[in-house]
Amino acid sequence: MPHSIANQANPARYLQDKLFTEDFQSSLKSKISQAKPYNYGVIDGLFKEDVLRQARDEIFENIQFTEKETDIYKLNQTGDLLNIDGLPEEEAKLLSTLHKVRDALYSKEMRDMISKVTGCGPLSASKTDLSLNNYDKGCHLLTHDDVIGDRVISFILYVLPPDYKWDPKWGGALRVYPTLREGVPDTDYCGAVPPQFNQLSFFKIVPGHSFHDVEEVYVDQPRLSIQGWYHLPQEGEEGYVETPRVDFHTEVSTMAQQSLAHYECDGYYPARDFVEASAGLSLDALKQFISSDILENVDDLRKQFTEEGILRLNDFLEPEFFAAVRSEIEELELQKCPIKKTDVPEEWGVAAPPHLRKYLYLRSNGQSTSLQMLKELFSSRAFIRLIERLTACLPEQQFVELRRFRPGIDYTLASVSGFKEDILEAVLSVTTAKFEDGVGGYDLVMGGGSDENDDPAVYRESKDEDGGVLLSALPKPNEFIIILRDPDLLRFIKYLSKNAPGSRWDVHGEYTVKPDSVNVEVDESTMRVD
Amino acid sequence: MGIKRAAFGKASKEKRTKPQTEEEVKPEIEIEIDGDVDDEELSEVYGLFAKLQSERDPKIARGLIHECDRLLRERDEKDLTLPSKFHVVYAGSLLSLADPAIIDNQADEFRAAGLERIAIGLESLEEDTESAIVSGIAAQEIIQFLHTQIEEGKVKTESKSWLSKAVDLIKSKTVNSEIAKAAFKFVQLLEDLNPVDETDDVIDVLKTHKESDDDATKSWANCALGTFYLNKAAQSDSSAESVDDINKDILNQAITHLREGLNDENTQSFVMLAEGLLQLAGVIEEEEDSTEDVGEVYSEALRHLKKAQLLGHEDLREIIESLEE
Repeated sequence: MPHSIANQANPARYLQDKLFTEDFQSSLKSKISQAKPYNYGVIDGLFKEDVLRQARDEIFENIQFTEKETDIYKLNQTGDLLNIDGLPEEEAKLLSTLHKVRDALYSKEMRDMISKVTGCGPLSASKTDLSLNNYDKGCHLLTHDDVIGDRVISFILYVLPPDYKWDPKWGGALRVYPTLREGVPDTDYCGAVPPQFNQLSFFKIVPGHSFHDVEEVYVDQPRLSIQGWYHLPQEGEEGYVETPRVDFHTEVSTMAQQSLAHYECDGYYPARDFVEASAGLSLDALKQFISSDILENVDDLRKQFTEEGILRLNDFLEPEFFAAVRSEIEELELQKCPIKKTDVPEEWGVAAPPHLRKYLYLRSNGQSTSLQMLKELFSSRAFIRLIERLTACLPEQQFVELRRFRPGIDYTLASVSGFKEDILEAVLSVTTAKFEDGVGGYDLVMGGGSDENDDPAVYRESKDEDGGVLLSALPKPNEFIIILRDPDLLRFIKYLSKNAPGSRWDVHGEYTVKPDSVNVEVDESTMRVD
Repeated sequence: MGIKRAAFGKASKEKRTKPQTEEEVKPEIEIEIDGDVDDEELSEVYGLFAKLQSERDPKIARGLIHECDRLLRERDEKDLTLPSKFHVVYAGSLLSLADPAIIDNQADEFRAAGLERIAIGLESLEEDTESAIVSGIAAQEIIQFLHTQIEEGKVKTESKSWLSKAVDLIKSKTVNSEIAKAAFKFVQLLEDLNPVDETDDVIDVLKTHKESDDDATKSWANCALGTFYLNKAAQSDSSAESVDDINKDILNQAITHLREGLNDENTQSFVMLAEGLLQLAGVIEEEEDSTEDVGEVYSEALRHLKKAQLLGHEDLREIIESLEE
């Protein structure tokens, strides 16, 4: 049965009186209408302060948070706050002020005010939808547009430590992104709202436009918030419309949005063009680049790959070549890290759009740096022949990138390969920094969830063995991983915390496989480079 | 074939070490096993201790204490003797918790137990290479413990006697990287505990080994000498309170040692050189007729801090960001 606050006596009395004055509302409405890149608003001092202080105490004394980490977020969360209605009386008493806060947020006065200042139309009283999120050090939420179902307004009420001001340097800001066109956010955010105690930030959800993220919290401070949505009126409520609006991404998760993505569209970089391998290297020349331990044990490694579907090889590059690559990378690490798109040198591109991925990729420029050579190596016919020998599959076309994932900025979200058939996917980590757990940057492969009954907002909840993690690899210098990837497997590089010791660097090669060529008999006599 | 769930799942799940799914899974601590030790249990303890030395994480210390206690009882029942290194490692774990900031009500107990265990470890030292290494570790743990005591304002007669014991260990054995590292910690201690009678003895030891053939020993010896001269440069005028009072010649002498001490295995060496360069930049900025490029000095300091960070040094981001602004 839907929660209803209709019969409760004036739940809005815990809100500040100023909210309901004509002057306040017209001033706020004006600010929201002028906000860029889309209409968002900020109200400082939403609640009468003692009420929110009391609620905060109740939360920390009585509520358990669960740490959650997926490709798109890391945070500590409670279940839906609607659940507090179902608690036994004694337990409900312990959260009585929190109950008041929730009811005030969904009170008629509050909904009318939000509706008026945003121009969003009527909002549901019965469909409440909010939870508590505590972002502590390292927590973040990457770029998304919040479009799910009949959500109309997204809001965040900050319940930060009330006795000191939150320093914007601690992170945790709500950041808003402009769009290049519908559904394609730009790489860099253009506005940021640092949180403060008793502040409400909110915006109207506009499919394909309302892109935002939550900046990582960089320090040991609790960025606690009550976060939720106002929905369209439900059946039986005033303002209900029988046929719901058709949204750009109605009832699909961010994961599903990705599979709908058109890679060839403007704003999607790098262009994922699969091409034939390049000539230029003889098989013999591989010895200059690949460790002799690998080249001399190809038959054993192939056997291993055939059995396990994966190879993880340490010390993959020949030591002298790896030292040259490492030295070039270290020199780049010691320079100032480019943060905004405009800071990035022209030999690098920025992978986009950010609701799918963000990292730097090396453009081919004909120069003979070690990094360019490494990228060319992965695209060469000789290397593809090596892959053929290692995997007993016949690679056809390839797409190779040399990537840099910067701390505090970069990631890829989970995606499927986009092919109907298995492909070979190779990643060589050439990271120089010493990574440990807790700062992200790991490469993760997991089974795809296809249960139609799943809550679309929780699209990477692993509920059974079959949907679990298959590979999790922290960046390790000179480790090569190759897998034969099923079409429905998900893979991502986890967002690198600003507290990571340096960037993650890798070469990423995808190789289509000739149909029905998996597990072919490898005839060494055919292992030649044309 | 393929990276399919049925075929691949088992092997890969064993490699999972962190909570990366919705389920909260506590990570196991990954340690590097000490490959020079045949005894597997001891090797794990030593590997974990190396992690404690770099991270000073109370959780690791508690785990180590638990494991050391178990090993001690188990071997005692079997009438087996444990090596001196084991006792020193156990002592170091206990002393790392002898800090009221970590465990308010039991700090004294850990302190007493740790010092007792150090004494047991030192009793069985011999005149061999391994004992020289253990001496260095013991000296480091004693000095680390004295740092905590100083922070608490608890410098007692007992503390001074332990300081003498640490200096004896630094002086008496064949110098190795652990001894040189202990000397570096001793020099750091001087910033808060000056004057110390034994300082000259330690500096003499360091001077003898500043050109050691062993890279790690050379690094720590020069790092210690550089740090000593950095302090001395600032203290050459007893009233030194500003960069005007820093003795530039001694500062350059410090920087020369710190450059000699650079070593990828010693992240502290990059941090100390950066500190020396930042002091130098401050001095140059105050000089009216200086022709030196202060921007280059800052830039070099920044590179060394970034290098330390890349090599896994504890968080330096705040200072790096402030220098980049």
